[in-house]
Amino acid sequence: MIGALRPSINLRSLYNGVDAFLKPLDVTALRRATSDVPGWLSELRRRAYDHFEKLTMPVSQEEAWKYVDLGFDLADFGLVEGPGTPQPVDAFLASIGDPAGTLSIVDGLAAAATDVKRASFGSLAAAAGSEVGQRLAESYGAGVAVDRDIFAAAAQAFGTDGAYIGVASGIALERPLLVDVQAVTPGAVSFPRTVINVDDSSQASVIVYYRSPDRDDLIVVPDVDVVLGTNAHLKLTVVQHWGDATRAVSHLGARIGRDASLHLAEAGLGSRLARLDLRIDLEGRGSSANIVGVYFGERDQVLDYRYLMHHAGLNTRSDMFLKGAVEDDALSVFTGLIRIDEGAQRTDAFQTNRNLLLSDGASAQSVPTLEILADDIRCGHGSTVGPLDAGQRYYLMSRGLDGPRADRLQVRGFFQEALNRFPEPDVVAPLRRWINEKYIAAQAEGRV
Amino acid sequence: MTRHDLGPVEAFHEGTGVRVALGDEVIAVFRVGDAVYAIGDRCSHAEASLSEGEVFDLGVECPRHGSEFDLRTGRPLSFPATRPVPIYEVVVEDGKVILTVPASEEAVS
Repeated sequence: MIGALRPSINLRSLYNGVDAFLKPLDVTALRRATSDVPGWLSELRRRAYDHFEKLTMPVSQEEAWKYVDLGFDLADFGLVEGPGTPQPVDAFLASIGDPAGTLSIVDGLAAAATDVKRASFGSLAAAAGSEVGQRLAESYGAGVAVDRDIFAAAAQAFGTDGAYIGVASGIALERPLLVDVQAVTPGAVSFPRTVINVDDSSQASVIVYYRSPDRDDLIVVPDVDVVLGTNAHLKLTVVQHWGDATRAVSHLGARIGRDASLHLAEAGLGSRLARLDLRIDLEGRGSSANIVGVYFGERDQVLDYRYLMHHAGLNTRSDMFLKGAVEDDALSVFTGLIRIDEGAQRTDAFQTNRNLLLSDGASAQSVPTLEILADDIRCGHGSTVGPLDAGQRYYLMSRGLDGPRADRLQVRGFFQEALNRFPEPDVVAPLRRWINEKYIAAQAEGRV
Repeated sequence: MTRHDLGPVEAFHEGTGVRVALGDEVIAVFRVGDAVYAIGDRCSHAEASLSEGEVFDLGVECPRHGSEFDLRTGRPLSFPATRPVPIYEVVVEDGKVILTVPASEEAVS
């Protein structure tokens, strides 16, 4: 395996541009990505490449990238020829008891999945050429418009693999399917895509776990496409725990059919910069989306959430509940838009974003927006940014707790309200522990 | 006295409590360095699982109201709890964590 022979130092510091072991994002890479694949896929990649060539790196003057300075150029990163050495199972993965199946994706390339009898579960590249190829073609890239930004275009042009999860009609999977997405090669850019198809009257639970080693400068564009049929129900948990030098720009899109529901949970804990561009289309009559999220930023981390909840069908319901804290010089951004189409009568929509500022240097931007074209709806939003409550601190200290302990309880309680709404109970304890560890370390070092 | 093999010590992560249910008895087991400690999981102040608490040196902080308990003695080190939680004999033998529960406290299971 080529990856195993790679030196562990980052050669990007020696070369100007993409290092010698990596392949640049160019027409040669496109040629590789379009050979030996079905016609629809090579056509899709060629179209994406046309957009990729026209698009440029976004700047913070653009509304969609306001507040965020990416600080890198995609052209300085390259594709791996083979995956690097996978990381071992960690405490987080071990805490998920008895998953229905597990699949690792390393540097954008899928390893062998465990055998799942009641669903299609495995490599995206392999699925494209198999009997589920037609189903895949209908949902591939469904989550994000190819010209959304240069990252979306690059992901569709150069991303060759990832995970495919297909659940046929009438199947209920009780235990979660686990997708362990790793990026391990410094200087590399990878495009691991996860496509999830849940057909009529089925239900499934999927956990997507993102991780990479600390200190490795690398880029990941992990996109997720979700398509839910009539009366399909999906629990989707996304845990972002990238290493502290990883920058990730991800898109997650879901199209939700009649009477179908999505319960989406996201935890944003790692990375140097992580953006999640989330788009939910409530297309079917009576469809619903329940979204919950937590994030915790430290050092000079940037956690950037863009969110569109699009109510297109009659009688649709959505709720978003996102809680985050920032300490040190970290920045969090939340811009959320609820759009209610003219025909989407009897919509019920709400979004909540609450932010804790734990240090003077940290900042949180929270911009909830509503765009309402129907006249028989219920819609609202709530947004707060502020420090720990001094009154609660005083109360806790009057009950015999010292100051740091009182603050820890407040932080814990703040996040618990969101964690209680996560659809997979197994992930809650490790997430809570990660958050608490970050805050306790900051307390011990006098950073908060 | 009943000895329970809780599996290899490597499965116990530093600073991470493990909740062990033996019949009606619920016990929180902690690994600190090479040593393991076992105390009653239920906080003596209010309904809360100490296995979910944070470990500081040799104490665990209750996740619900913040009382800290000494892992060696079970005694509360801070308010609001005032009464100790039970402690249990636990050792590492041949790389396995062995918990011993007194017969009187063991439930039929």
